[in-house]
Amino acid sequence: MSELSKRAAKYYFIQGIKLVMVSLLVLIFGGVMWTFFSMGEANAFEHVLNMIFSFGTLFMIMLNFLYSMYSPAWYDSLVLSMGARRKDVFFGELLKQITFIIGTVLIYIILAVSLHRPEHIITILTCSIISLLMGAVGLIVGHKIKKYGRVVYIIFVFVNAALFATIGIRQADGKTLIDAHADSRYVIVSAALLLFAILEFVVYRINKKAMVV
Amino acid sequence: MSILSGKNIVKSYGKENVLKNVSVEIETGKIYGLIGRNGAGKTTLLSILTAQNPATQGEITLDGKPVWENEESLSHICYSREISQVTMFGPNTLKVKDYLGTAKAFYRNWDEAYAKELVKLFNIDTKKKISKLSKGMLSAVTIIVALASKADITILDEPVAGLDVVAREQFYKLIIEEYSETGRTFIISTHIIEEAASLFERVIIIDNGEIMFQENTEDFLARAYRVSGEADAVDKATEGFKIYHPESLGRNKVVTVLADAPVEKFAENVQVEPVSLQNLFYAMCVNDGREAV
Repeated sequence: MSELSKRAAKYYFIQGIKLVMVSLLVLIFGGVMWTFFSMGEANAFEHVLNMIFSFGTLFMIMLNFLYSMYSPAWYDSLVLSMGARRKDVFFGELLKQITFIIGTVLIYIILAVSLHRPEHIITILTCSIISLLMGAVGLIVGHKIKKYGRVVYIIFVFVNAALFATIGIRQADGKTLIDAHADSRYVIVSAALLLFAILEFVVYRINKKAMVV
Repeated sequence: MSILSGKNIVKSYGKENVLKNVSVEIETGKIYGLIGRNGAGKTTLLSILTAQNPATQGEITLDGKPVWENEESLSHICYSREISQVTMFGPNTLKVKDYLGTAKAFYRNWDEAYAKELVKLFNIDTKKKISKLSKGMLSAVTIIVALASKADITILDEPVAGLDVVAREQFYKLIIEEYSETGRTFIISTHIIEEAASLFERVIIIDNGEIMFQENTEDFLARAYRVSGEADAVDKATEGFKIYHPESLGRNKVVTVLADAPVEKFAENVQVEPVSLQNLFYAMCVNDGREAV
């Protein structure tokens, strides 16, 4: 590992740790807020825990996606302008995301184990794989936004809104798009990992010609 | 002596050629001035020379080794760009201390003590967000990064834009001090030519994506003249010379001459004066029919 690669890895690792801190702060803030709103309710503790795990894991996916989307035109561009190589940026991004996901997963697993809620662990791990996949999606969207402007972002938001509206309507009818509670979880995880590998290859190719903006 | 060399660089965006077969050589231990009009291709050229952006065609080397993705070459170069106060997603909320922290992380020879000294000198509040800085403060931050990087080849793009006269003088003094102490190479792209001209050992003039001149500044100006007098006399005296920006005032005429070599004497009946770098640049660029932008 070259000296520059080490410096880039350290920089991105710290960025990942900062994201874990954001995740932790959201967990604390959410915990306090949901406790406050659930006061006086029967099963308040259960309710707060469910909210923390549901929102926290979803937030892990969302935060990784958003930060990945911002990166090409912001942090990665800055780093590139300061003498880093494109491959340092690529591996650094990967390291940042993995650091963030492992850190966040550890927090939630410790929470689940210490509160005797092992049933949440499988959901946390599934969401961590989805978060990894969404990081790659975010980077591709970020690179396209950098190249074509915010119109890409607007299109992406519209596509997502349509997709989630469809899912919402189906769920309101009592149908589920994917049965995440059955054995299909393994299929979802495997598909997400495969897609992640493919998308990372795309990111690598886009990143090879990255420009400073 | 190291040489940063760009050969036959072409940069195209779609059908538009921003750089047209540009070749340039930067020798270490000199201060270069890169001048050109807005949109001439200065920033694009500097981005390509420092491997921040890829060239469509051409070769960029430092001591014969490619600069692109080359750690050794990149470690000798710092291109401190203008900092944007907005990102694709809104205001640039990065704090100055984080910006400097990133520079510290990536520049191999970063001088932290010097950076702190410069922060104090330019009176920069490092807790401020980039989006909240004034134009002058933004320029000061790019200067701090450039100087504290201690890179052998340091490039500054519009470093004095927005700086007040005191800060500008401080900047020129810092460049001279740093140059005399370390012998670092500086490439300074600027529109404030009159002030910076005395710094430039060599000057590169770029216009419309092409290098018009790259030469020792003193030698360049030694063969430039402002010739004035009666129109007929001026025409006769400057016959055979390359003339820029002829201006007629009644029966009188003024032209800027760029000879191939210093001229001993023009005709008796014309007035001959030396030309400043800014006036020469103006004369060379004003005549191609393009309005000010």
